[in-house]
Amino acid sequence: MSEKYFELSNLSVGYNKKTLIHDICLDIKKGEIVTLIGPNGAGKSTILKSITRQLEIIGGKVLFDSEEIRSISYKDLSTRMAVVLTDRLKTELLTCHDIVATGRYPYTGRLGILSHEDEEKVDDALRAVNALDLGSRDFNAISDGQKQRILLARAICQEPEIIILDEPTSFLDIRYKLELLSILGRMAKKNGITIIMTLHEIDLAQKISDKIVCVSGDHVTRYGTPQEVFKEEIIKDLYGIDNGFFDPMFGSIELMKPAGETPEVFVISSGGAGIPVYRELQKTNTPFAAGILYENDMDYQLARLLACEVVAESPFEEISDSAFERAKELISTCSRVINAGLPIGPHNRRMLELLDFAMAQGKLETLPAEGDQHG
Amino acid sequence: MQNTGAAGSFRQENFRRRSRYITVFAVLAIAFCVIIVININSGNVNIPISRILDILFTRDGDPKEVDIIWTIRLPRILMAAMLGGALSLSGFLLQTFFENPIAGPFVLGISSGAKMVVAFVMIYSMSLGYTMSSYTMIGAAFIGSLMSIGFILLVARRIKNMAALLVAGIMIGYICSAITDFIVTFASDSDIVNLHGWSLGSFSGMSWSNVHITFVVVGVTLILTFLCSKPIGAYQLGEAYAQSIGVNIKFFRIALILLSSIFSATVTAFAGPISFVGIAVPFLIKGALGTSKPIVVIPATFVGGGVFCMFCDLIARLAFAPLELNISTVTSIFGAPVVIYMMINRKRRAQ
Amino acid sequence: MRKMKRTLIWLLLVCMAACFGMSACTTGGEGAGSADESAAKASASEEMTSAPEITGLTFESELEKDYAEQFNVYRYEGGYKYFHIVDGDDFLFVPEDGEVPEDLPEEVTVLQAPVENIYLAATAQMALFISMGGEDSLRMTSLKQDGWTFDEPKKLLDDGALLFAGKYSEPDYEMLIDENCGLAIESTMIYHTPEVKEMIEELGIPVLVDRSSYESNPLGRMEWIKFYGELIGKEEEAKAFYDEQKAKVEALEDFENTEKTVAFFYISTDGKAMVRRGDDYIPAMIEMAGARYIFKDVDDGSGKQTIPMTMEAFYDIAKDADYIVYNASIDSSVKTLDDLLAKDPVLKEMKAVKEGNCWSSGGAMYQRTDIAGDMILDFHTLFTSDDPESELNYITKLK
Repeated sequence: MSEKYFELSNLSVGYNKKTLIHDICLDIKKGEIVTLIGPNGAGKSTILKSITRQLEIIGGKVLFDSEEIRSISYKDLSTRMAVVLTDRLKTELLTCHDIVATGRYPYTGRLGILSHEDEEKVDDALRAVNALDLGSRDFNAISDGQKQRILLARAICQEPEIIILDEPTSFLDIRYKLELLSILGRMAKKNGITIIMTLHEIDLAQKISDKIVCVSGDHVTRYGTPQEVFKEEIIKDLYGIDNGFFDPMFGSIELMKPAGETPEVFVISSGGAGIPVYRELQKTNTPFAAGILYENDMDYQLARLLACEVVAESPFEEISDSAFERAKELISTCSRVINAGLPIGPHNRRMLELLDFAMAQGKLETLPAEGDQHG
Repeated sequence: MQNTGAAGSFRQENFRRRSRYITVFAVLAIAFCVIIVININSGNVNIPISRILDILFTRDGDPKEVDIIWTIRLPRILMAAMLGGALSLSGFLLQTFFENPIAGPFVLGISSGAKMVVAFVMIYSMSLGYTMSSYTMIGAAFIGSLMSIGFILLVARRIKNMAALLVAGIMIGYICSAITDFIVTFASDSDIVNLHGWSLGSFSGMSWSNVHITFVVVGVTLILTFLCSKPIGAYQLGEAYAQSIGVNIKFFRIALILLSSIFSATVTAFAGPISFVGIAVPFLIKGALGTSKPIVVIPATFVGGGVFCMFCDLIARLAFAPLELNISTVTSIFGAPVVIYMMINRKRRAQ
Repeated sequence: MRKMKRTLIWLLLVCMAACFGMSACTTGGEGAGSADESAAKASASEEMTSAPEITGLTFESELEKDYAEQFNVYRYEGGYKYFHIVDGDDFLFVPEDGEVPEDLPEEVTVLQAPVENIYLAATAQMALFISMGGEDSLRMTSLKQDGWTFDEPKKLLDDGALLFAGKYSEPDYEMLIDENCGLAIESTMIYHTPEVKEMIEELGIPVLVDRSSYESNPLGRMEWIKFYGELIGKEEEAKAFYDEQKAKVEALEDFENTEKTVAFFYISTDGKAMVRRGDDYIPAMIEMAGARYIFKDVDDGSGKQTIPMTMEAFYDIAKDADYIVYNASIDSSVKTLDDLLAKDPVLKEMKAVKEGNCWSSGGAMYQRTDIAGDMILDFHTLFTSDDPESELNYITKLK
């Protein structure tokens, strides 16, 4: 029903007439947040630069509201598209207010004199990025993170329909990363501004984007919603990860599991208690087994990545014999058994037997509990 | 509801800054007037101020004194003011273009091109039997500048980054110097005895026709430059951002180079190359104003440049009268410490 | 919109170029030395054969000259005089209370009597003025005390009768006006700084460019004293002085040339030997004094009077010259024989060096245009006397 808003149609981009990425076909709707992800040097920035007309388009078209972007004058385009780039600004004696005020450029007169209204919009933009107190400071004197926010404010001040950002969170600490992305989210949802950006933090990309574009090799490998794109195998292929995992369920990144076929430690836990233990063992590169974990237990999610073997049980079932026996086998082969703590209820009463079994072998270590334990 | 907004707001900041700008401009205007008066009043012949005012406004009085003031002193002062302003603006434009405050007006090789053609004319005009007029030299210098400008523009159309343009300018400088040295070997001493003096610049012997031409050329270029305040301000963010707010980069690059070159070519043509003005004055002005926004920096730099050059010319004339120092000697004495201070400061701040 | 901006900029450049072009043409006409002027004077690049017709003036007589070929002076009734300089400017001297004739051609500059408070920037002419007692007409000069090689101008400067008004390329214009300068006499160097000439003329002061250095005969060069004498009313004194010098030289007319060869030169800072062209006045003086100028046939076709030679070429021609006379008026660093030999190792192989016949002519050679006769006699003494060192006035031995 909606006409195409921002479309890349068989777009080929590259430098010096040499194509880096070809046949890009994207269809972006108004108010969407679209993130490009992919390995370093894949060409994400190249695509962005071609959209913003910094680079010449080698083939295909970019259509903005059905108008070819090349036929729009720079001036017109500037009222509809704003950018936040990775370029370093070399300014002299300009305050943050001045930098943000350049966003009003397309709207001011011949000599660029700002009206009262323009000045207020500058303040509003600064307010939107929580940088109102930075206004009067020299742009060169603030931190990289603060600079990034000012540049975003500048783009916002331009009152565009689309904001294009190239790695906007690169210099920011976690707090400002979150802040920036939440501002972008607000811009998109509240003001209907379309956001197109590249991010290295795929976990953040997963959480904030409406659409993800995977760029790798010489073409766009995938284009879809985060649910579609963020599967473990896809991400692993995209980035060529062979030394860890990306867990799409929580959007978390995990390092490699400990090397080794046979576990040395058996971890008994539930409800998150095992997670710190798994991490410790991973740091000491100790292969371990975990069990008996219900498949809907959160420990299970991590154990399946880090443990060399997991003894699992279906959710809400009583512990089966096969599982029980397997666990006992593992306990016998392991040199240590760690009880990280688990609540015992009517369905997993057999766990007590396991614990006793381990104690009898003299291998049981019980970690100090933080909360109550059912006895 | 009043014009000052909330504390720390943009409007308030602008309000505060405006008062600073007004102060600076007032100081500049006063300095300008004072230095003009001092200049008119000084020379080897003593003429009291009351008579000066009479002569200026009524053109009446002792014909000798009228001659001295109108034919000798006034054109010279006006040229120093206009050319000083032109040179400073030329420097400012190139500094914006290269995003480097040490870029001077002659960094693109204009003075070398002018010197080459001037040397050529000095040497060969006599042997070709052509007797020179003062405009021969002016025309020669201007043509030499145009050649350098033309070459730079050709290069600017093709290259993507600034460093290449800078290199091209330096190359032009070296090549023209080499050619000049080559021609000079064939010259007799009497032909080129004045070449060295020319290349250090002088405001002496300016006539009213010089003033008229300079007024038109510099005036028009000044107005055009001022009208470009907005895109120049955008350009200060770098080409990528400037383009994103609507500036046509390809065209604007050429415009910047052209405007800057017209200024420096005019100065070179009439007074010869003058050093340090184009670097020191914009730096001082930006420091005084506390901003680099073109809409205030451009007029202030022009006036400041005029004041600086008139001051230096005063010293050049009077320090060892009746012998005159070359203007570059004096501008170097005052300008070099400023530039050195600027470079040290930059380094310290970068750390 | 952009195209319009671009066109505007190009238009601006074209306008400026046109501006410059136009002013070059028009103001070129103001200066006395433009292309147009030279064309008009094509007929005037030789001596005039007859007095020019001037409305309202009747020709009386022409100034007699023996050797000078670069000027003419025509006298008219009522004290009017017409001065013509070959390849230079024309002047009409108008007596006090006299009227300027109508229809006077534009190129002719009017000099109203009395011609006084002269700014003399042609240093070679100072001697002429002093020799005819014309220093009262001078007021300013372009050399300071230590630049003069003889006493009279030094004394005039010390006394304040003469003022230093800046060198020819940077005169003190204000002083010129303040001192009511009536005429600026410049050397041909002024052609290298045309803006100075234009400025002086704009101030209402006429500029006369002396071209006596183009005379090939030294007596002709000296005869310009008559030219200047006519200008400042010292015709008698000028003639008397000239005749005296002429007599000294004419006494040598029948002298048979000794056929001794003389190398007159100096060595420039870049190691070239600079010799005067064969038809220059100094070689002429040498010939008149009874010797031969060894570089008589040297000419590089450049039209310049001083010709550079490599030391090789120099040695080739001059190795057997009987005398070396070093031009110390240009290169005053050579005071002893060692100074000379230090200039180039090949010099000590020359015959003149081995025989101890090395001499130097001081600054007087250039500045004392008046005593050409005395100088020729000095040369004569050098070539003929048994003990020249004790008898010479202007030439010193290098030892």
